[in-house]
Parts: sequence; C-alpha cells; structure tokens
Amino acid sequence: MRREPLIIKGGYVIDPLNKVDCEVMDIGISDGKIVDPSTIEGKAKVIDAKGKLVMPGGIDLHTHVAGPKFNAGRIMTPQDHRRSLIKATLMSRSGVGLTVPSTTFIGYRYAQMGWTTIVEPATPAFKTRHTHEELDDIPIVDKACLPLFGSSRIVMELVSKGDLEALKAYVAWALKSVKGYGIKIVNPGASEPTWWTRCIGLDLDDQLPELGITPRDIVRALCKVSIDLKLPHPIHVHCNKLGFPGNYVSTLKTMDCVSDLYKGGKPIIHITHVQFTGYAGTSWANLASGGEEIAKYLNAHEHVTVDLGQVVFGSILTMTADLPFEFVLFHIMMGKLHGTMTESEVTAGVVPYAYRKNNYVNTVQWCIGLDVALLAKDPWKIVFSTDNPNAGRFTKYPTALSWLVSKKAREEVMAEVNRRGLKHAALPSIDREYTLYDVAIVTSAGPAKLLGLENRKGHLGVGADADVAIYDLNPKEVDVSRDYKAFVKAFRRAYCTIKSGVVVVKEGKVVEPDVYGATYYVDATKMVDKAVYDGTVKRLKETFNQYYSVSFSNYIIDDKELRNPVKVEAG
Amino acid sequence: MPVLTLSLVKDPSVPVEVEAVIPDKIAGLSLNEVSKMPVWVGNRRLKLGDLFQVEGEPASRPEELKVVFKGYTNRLWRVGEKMSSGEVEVLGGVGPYAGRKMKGGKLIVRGPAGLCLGAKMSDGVIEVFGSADDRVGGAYRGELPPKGMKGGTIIIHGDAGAEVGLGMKGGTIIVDGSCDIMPGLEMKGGTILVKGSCAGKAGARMTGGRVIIVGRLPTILPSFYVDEVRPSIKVAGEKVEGPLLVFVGDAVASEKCGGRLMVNLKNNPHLKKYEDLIAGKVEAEL
Repeated sequence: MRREPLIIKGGYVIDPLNKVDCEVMDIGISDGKIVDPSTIEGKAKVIDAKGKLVMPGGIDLHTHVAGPKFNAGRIMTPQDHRRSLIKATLMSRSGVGLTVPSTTFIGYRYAQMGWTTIVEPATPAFKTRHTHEELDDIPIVDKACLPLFGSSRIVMELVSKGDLEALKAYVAWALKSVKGYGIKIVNPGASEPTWWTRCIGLDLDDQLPELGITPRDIVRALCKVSIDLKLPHPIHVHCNKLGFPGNYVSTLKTMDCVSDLYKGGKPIIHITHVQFTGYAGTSWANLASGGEEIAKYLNAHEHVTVDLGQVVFGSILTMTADLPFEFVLFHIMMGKLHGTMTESEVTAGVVPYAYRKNNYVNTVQWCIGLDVALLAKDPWKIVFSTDNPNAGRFTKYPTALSWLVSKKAREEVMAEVNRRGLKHAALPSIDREYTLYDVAIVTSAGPAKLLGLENRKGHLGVGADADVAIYDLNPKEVDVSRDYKAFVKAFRRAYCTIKSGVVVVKEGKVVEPDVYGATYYVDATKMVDKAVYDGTVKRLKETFNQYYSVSFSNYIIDDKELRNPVKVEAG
Repeated sequence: MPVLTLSLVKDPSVPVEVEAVIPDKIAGLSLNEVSKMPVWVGNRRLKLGDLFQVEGEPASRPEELKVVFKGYTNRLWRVGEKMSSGEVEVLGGVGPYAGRKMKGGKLIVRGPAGLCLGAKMSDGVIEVFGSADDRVGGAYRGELPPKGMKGGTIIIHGDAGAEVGLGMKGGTIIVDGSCDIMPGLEMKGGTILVKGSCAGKAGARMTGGRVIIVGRLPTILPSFYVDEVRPSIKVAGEKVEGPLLVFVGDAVASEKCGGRLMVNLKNNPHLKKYEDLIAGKVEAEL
C-alpha cells in the first residue's frame, strides 16, 4: 500500500459541509487525512484534476451487503451467478452475482463509482458475527452495521415492564457486544404475531399479544434510549405495514409519534426506504403516491430524515427482516421464498421480484421515491438509496441519480412507463432538478452528518479522512440537466477514487484491491449508570439460556475478531 | 448426405467444449478451415485439428450436412448447442449440455447423455440410445418457470435422471425406461411420457402440461386431485393403452390445477382406492 502524499490540483470542488460549491481548489492528502496543500507542496505526487469534479466519497446509509439473509439470497439465485461471471485478474479477485454479488465485487464496484462508506442496515444481533465476517471480506470501503432491536423479545419485555434504564443498559451492552453502530427497528413488534396479522400488516397502534404494548411504545422507548445514550445515529426505522396500500398514514404516524421528544439539534428518527411505506390508496388496483404528504411533513418538521429506496426497473431480490410482508409478496409472485426466524430476535425473508415498466404498481412505486426527493425542500433531510437490492441494485445508482438531476431523464422514462400509474403521482408536474451540490448532500454530506461522522467523513476540510471521488465531468461546461448521459457516464466509473489516502481506482479500474477499510461501532456503555449496567448484564447472563441457544460468552464479539475495528464513543 | 467425421483418438482427460462444431457453422467451409476452428480443452484454447482427426466431405448447405463424433466422446460438452439444421451423431456417450438451446435439426447420441440434455431447446429432435442424466429438457437451476424446453422432441431409449422437464413449457419428452424423482417439476406445458416406473413426486408444482407414467409410481402427491379414468390417450401420434387414472394439480402451485398427471392403473394396483373414489364406492377421507 502506497501512502505517499497527494495533491489534487485544479479540480472543481463540491463540499457541502464546508459550503464549497464548485470552486477551483487544491486538496492535499497526507497519511490518510486531508491536509493543507501548502504544507506538502513539492514532495507530494500531483493528481491533475483540471476540468474535473472533486467530491467527498459517497456514503451509502442503507445497503444490504452482508449477513445471513444476503447469503440466503446467494443460495437462492444460481441463475444470476451464471449470467455474471467476473474473472480474476492479476490485480483483483474473481466473483459472481448481479443482485447478490460476491463480497469482493461489492467493494470494487462501490469504489469504482466513488462510494467509500457503506452501512449494512439490518443484521440480527445474534448473527452479527457472520455479518462482520462478510463485511471484513469487502475490500476498500469503510463499513458499519445496525443490529435489529424492534422485534427482540428482550426489548419488548423491558418496554412492557416500562424499565427504560434497563433497556438503555441492554441496548448499550448489545451494541458494544455485537459491534453495532445504531438501533435498527424493522416493523416493530411484528415478528411474533406474524401469523395472526392475516396478511394485512400490524399497524402502529395494534396491541401485541401477552405484552400489553403497541409498536408505538417500542418506537418511543427505543427513541428515548437513543437520545439518552447520545448515539451518533438516530433510530433507523422501517415502518409498520410496509408494502401494504394506504401505509403512508402509518409512516406519518410513526414520524409523529416521537415529535414531542425532539428538543432541537440533530434529527431523532430516520425513516428508511420511504418509497415502500409511502403508498396511498386502498388496494393494489388504486395504489397512488403518498410522497406528497410525506414531503409536506418533512418540510414542516426538523426531527425526521428519510432515505428514498428509489425503484430502478429490472429484476431484483427483496430481502428484509420483515417476514410477514415477504410472505404476502411470495403469494403475489408464487416464485421462491426464504424465511427464517432468528431465535428470539427477528424474522427475515427473501423473495425475488422484478420491477416492470408497463406495470401500474411498479410505476407508482418508481414515482413515490422521486416525489419525496423532489418535493422535500431541504436536501439535508433526504438520503439517497435504492435499498440495495430491494428496490434496485447499487450499481444502478448513477441512473437513479440522473432522475434527480435531470427532468429530461425522468421524462424519457415516463414516456415508457404505465400511463395510468403516472396519473396517481405528483412526479409529472414537478420541475425541480437537483444541482450537483444537492447530489453531494444526498450522497455524502447528509449521510455523514446523520451517522455522526461529520468530523471525519463526507467533507474535504482539513482533518477529514481522505476519501475523495474525482469524476470526469466539467460542471462549468456540461449542463447535467440537459446532458444527463454525461452525468451517468461520469458517475458510473469515477476518474479516480482515493480511500484513506490511497488511490484505489484510476480511470474506472481498480488498481489497489488489497486495501481494507475500517468497521465502525459504537460504545455507549459510559452513558449508562454503572450500577444499572452491571445489574442488567448480570440478570441477562442468568436468564440468557431462556432466550438463546448459544451461551452468553459466545454471543459477545471480541475486537480481535474484526479486521479493522474503530470505536466511536457515544456522547 | 455428406458426412464429416471427427474422431477423438486420444483421451484429453479434461472436458472439450465443441459448441462451435454444428452444421450451421461448418457448412461452406473446407476441411482445412474446419480443422482450424477454435475449441476449448479444459482451460486451453486449441484448434480442432490438434485434437480431432477430421475426415469426410464438407457440404455447402447446413441442412445437407451430417457431423459424426467418434472416439472418447464422453469428454464432449455442449454437443450440438444452438444448432438449427442438419444432423449431429455421436457414436458414444456425451457430457453435459448436449443439444442445449437447440433450434432445429437432429441430434443422435448412441450412448449415455450427461446433465441438462436439451436444456431450453425450442425445436428439433434429440434421440438418445443410452440413458440420460438429470434435468432432461430442463431450465437451469434457480430459474423461475417456464424457462425450460419450449418445443421439439427428446426421445430417450434408456433411463432418465431426476427432474425430467424442469420448468418446461412445450414439446415432448419420451423416456422408454424409468426415471428418477420429480418428472415435470414446475412444468407449465408440453408432455412427458415415462414408459417405465418413476421414483416418486411426479408433477410437483406443475401448473400445466401432462406427465404420463406407464410403469409404477409409488405415491401421488397430496396436492393432486383425482379427476377421471381414461381408457387410452395419444402422445405424439402414439397410442398409450390404459386404463389411466387422471389427476389434476398441483394445488400448491396454482389453485387452477392446470396440470395433468396420468398413471396407468394396471401397473399400479395400490392406486385402486382412487378409482373407487371416483366410482363412489368409498368416501373421501378428510
């Protein structure tokens, strides 16, 4: 690995966290960090970025790339692997896969597009050891994972008892033990009563059997925990009734149920893949976009952020820790289903699916993500994602981003999709286009801020990690809203990607494949009272075999088991 | 008919992929040009002449040409892949993917055939004088139906492996011998005739088409409903004598029960209870 000092000369820099918009600047890199270029002038290697776009490396806040369900997806799709052999070269390893690629391919392709940090957003805490094994094998990019808490039996029992202090201690212990980065809530409470919801979905105010609580209580309790523990990332919520028509009401209720806890400052709730939970209408036949209402709520409130889950047409694999919905989808598709229940924590399912342009429902789904993104006035509240691979593969990001920056690109797709579907969305009447500055916000600065890593990621100020993407696109000459194809071409293969001060991609080719990024995790144990923490862990140790088939000490993942762990202290 | 003979005199000990050697591509070439055609031997790319003895007379039009393989033919993979006219004959067995995606013409194998014989074929005739391995006329692993055989005929004079006609949509497969489990898995159309016995689970997840088992079938899947008894039926112009019990299904895959599973009653006395059920002699157990 060569960590020689570098100077990126003469590029048009976009750096929203430092309020730099398309200015010609030099950026100095030394020892993996951004430094003042004048200090290393002369001894540094020069990268000529004249007429090129320099942005902080992209951060993908929500992408399923590792873990047990991703592996189940690999087993389920041999036909995909057959179609996509990637040969080994002297520089890089071989691989297969379209929707569920090999670990190496994930790292290479993200780097080739200029993305340098990814977050695996759903891993059962019980199986996170497996997730870390896979994340460790993904080259180049930095990683983090969010364990699932929303349907955990232990959490639900503590919420039912109203023992918030113990819940805080448990969450802090679990995050530290499994090396997680934040709290993920998937369809809160729905794992156990899966089969009595009768395929209509559990709503936010439905009673859970035996416990006497509702999903609302779980969301509120975990939100309070995340605020009190001062976790860097707010609760990451996949709402109730995901995938059922008319569910945008549940989404708005979920957003609103924690609004009274907000005391200013950072957002306290992140609603993920809002496209899947933004359906208006009463059935699949009259499905409509609820994107407008969600955008209205976003514009009026400061405590909530969303990521899109933008649909990209083509065949994909849906994988989520929401088995009830996957079971419904399986009966729509009648193809394959993988379903699993992870001890007392979570249920998960995998079902293959294809988004087709002539389909009414798929067209409405395509519109919802764009509706939210374009009607929300503040791009800092939006994070770009396709919920890879649920709504689209991550390799399609440039195409999906082109719909944000160019009305022309949208119109060309709109000419091909279902006409009736377009009438049920606000998209055809929207003229707004994102600028490249907005694109930098939704792909790197925004997610960095939301992850609480704004000091080291998502910007190019002095002291930041040297994660830089240089695209072969001259923002002063090319008007991306008219020439969106140039935008797609430039973003599909970055001219140069620098990860921690190492040039990993040159002109779209991986040149340094053996770089491995860090795995971030949160240690919030200092935010809990010592006596409460010790008491909770002691009780948990005693009752552990009631919940799990593994022993207490085997549940805990040691720092040594990770390739490159980086602890982030909460607070 | 002009015949072009390719003999594999030495055992290459690794698979030889001969997908290029089909009448469509050879027609119009001279013998010298044929022996210069590329062929993959294991992970090496060689010329056809390095490996085979090429003899015979080439033809100008593909439908007039017959290609004959001799020697260690068990090593040959993808024989007759994507051929659309003419004839290919193999004097011996073949490896996997013989006749894959075939569009027409005739492929004759005078020995056993490997996996995925006639996978995804759309037309033409394949005749095998030995037995065939799994997934005759099938789709690839993991593909949703109907991605299997679309048309044409496969005749196997020996036995067949498991999952005959996986995800098939049309065409006819005739097995003179017996077959392993799950003939007609996920099929949507076409006909499978097994003249011997079947190991079980016939027609699992089928939503259309016919599976006919003349020999013994140990059990019927519980998701099939008995429909009627037929004296005889016709398959590809050939009469199959009965009496045949007709089942409809598979209810697990589709509530329309478009698939037909037919079992000869004479060779399956243990299925007599279904005949009694139709005649009203016994009540259905619920």
